[in-house]
Amino acid sequence: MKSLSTYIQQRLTLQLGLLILLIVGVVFSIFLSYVFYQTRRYAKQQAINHATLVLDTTELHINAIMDEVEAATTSMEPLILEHLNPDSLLAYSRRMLEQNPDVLGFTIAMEPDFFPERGRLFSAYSLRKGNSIVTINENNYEYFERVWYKTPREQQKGYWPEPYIDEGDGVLTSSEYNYSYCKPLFDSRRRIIGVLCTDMLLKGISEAVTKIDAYPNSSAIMLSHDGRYIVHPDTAKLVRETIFSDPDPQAQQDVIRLGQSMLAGQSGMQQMIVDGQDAYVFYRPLKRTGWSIAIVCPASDIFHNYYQLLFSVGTIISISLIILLILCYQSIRRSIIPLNKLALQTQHITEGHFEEPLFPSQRQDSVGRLQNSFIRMQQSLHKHISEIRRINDEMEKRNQELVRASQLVQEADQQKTAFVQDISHQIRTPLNIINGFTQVLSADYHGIPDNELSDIITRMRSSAKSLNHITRMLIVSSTTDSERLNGEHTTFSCNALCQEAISSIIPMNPDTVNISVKTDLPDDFMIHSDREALLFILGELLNNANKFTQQGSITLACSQTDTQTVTFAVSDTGIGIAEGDRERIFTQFTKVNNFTEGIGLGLSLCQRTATMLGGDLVIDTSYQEGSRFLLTIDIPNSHI
Amino acid sequence: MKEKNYRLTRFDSLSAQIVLWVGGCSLATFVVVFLSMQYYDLPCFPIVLAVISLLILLVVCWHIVAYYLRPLGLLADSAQRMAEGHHDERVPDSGHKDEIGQLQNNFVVMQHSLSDYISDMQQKREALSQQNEKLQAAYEQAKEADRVKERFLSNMTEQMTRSVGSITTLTETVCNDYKNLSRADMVKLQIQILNDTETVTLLLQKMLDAK
Repeated sequence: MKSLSTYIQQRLTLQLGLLILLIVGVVFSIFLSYVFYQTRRYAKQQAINHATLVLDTTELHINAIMDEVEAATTSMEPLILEHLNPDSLLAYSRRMLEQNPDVLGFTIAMEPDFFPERGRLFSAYSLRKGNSIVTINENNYEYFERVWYKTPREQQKGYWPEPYIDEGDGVLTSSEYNYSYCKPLFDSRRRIIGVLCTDMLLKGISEAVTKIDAYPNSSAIMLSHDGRYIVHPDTAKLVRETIFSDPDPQAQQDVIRLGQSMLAGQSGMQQMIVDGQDAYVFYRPLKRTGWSIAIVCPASDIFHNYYQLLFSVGTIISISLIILLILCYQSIRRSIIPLNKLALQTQHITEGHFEEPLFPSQRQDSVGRLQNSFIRMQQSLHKHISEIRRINDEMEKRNQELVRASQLVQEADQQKTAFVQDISHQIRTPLNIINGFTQVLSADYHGIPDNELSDIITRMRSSAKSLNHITRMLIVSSTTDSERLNGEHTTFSCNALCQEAISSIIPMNPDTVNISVKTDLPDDFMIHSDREALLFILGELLNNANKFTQQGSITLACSQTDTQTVTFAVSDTGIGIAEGDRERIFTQFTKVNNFTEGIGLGLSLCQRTATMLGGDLVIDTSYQEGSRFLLTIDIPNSHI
Repeated sequence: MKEKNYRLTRFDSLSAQIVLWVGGCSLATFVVVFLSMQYYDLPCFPIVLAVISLLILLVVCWHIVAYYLRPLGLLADSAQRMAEGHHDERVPDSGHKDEIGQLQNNFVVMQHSLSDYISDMQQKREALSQQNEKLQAAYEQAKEADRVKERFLSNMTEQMTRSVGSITTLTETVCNDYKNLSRADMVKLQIQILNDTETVTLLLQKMLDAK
């Protein structure tokens, strides 16, 4: 039960469908309750009208029968009065039966001693026995105190006594239930001279009443004055039982109430249980006899159409509600399919996936609107978040770049320090040589052999040159980039520059290496540039070549590539540079071979300087015999 | 749940369908009941009553569907506001467990998670921006220091160049004329060279100290 309610709580379709069903059901119930209430009232009224009509008809019918009896009885009166003698009375009594086949018996009972010759009593009595009629004088039958004789005599008018069974006080007895009409016989002076009594079989009236068929299952009863059943569907109850002797204690009160109403001569309707069934009893008195007739109509008959209607309407409503439930269920189910997708999508977004595409809905309802809003939201979120991400990424990149730049600046600083250390170290050797030898020469050089002296001089000159080169390197490297850009440019001869560069180096292997200048340019070819810087680059390149070339040649070639550029090529036939190292040699402090002297800063400084002068320094990779460096310099409006 | 002013005017195909079904079924039922009452020879109900019942039914059903679908409108509005850039938009928790309730609850979770995510991102952005400023300042400072140092070195180098030039010239003189010069002149030259050498060494020492 709990799981079912949870199940329904989780299904919108069922919830909504059942709720709608409930509401429709309630409204239907209210509406139909009213309709059925009205219909039931109508059916009841119809039944009352119908029953009243039937009762009226029945009463008329019974009256007709009784009228006939009365008429037959009355018609005998003049004949009897005309021929008042015992024999003719017997004959009339017989004739009555002959003339009226319905009459069971006829009695002409005379006052005591009316015919003294026949004794005290005289009653001419005819009775139908089978097909024959028996007529006797019941002179030993004491009838004066009998109800049928006494009452009409006292009332002086016709009287219908209670039905009875003649159990045979008289000579002739009838074994059937019958009823009688008794009428006093008056002579011409209106004195009662006897009583006429016509006996009828109860069957006649009983049949008339039983014939009432107000409804297929209705039955009729008739009560006498004292409540005995004159007509009853159960013949065993006839005459012997009264309405008050019903043994059923449940029904007793209703029955007693009914009996009292009926015996009081009222007419009306009463609802009660009869034989375990709900029934309506319609009753009315028969005015002539004081008897009362009632029709017992089962409710199922009275409300037959009503019940039929109830049944068919119930069926119709059930079908219609089931159809409604199915339709609603389908509609709701179809309309909430996208909701499940959206719920999943929402979960996706929660997990951080913003890009999952959704197709816009064509529907105009809440679900479609939600879906479209959702798509717009998703797109906006996607845009917003990727924007933030992009900004963050950029910022992160910029920060990393800043860190790297700061590191570079620091490195450059360290390099400068290292460079200065290196320079201060390098510069000591030539200084010491110069100082030492100057001291030697200023003291006493006469004891020194000539060849040693010339060696000293050579070494002093060489030291002076290397001192110059180191200083130039220092100048170039300490010149800030901005200073170099705006540096003092002078106009000078290109060939003279090349000669100076060559003369600034001291050949290491003067015997095996030929150092020369090869120029394509005229001596008056002038260029406008930073002379010191160019001199430094060429000197450094030549120094390198000098260092790494054991034999062969070192050539400084100079040519004009086009109107705008001049190229200096420094070629040697030395050990060359391995292909893998070519990239690295321009990096600061890189020495291809750690054992070679030098201050690793050279080439990178050269390249930087060349770039600053608006030129470029590259390795000629096509040159195979050693290494060749190409320095290209822009010469804007320079020559001559 | 607390808001009562859900919109009823908004056309919704589901409401319309439901109302159509309810109306159709009820009408059919009423007609069949009417006909069967005629068939069973019973007096017919007043048509006005049926019409009133039908109207009540339709209105109530319309309201109920609208009530059930109200969270969808709420969510749609919220999604729309989020699309317009209100990322801290909040939808209340749903007390229901049905599909719409689940959607609403998922939506609430999503909004929380999104809001957290976005504020995280923004915090990160601020942190990065602060870091950027600091780094920029540090970079500028380093560059400035570098420039100062460079200028200093340049200055020192210039002074040193003069001394080195002097040494080179004197050395050349010594090399060329040592034979012709008097001892006193030679000693003078030697002392000059020594002085210049000391100047160079001093300048280099300064440069080394400057780091």
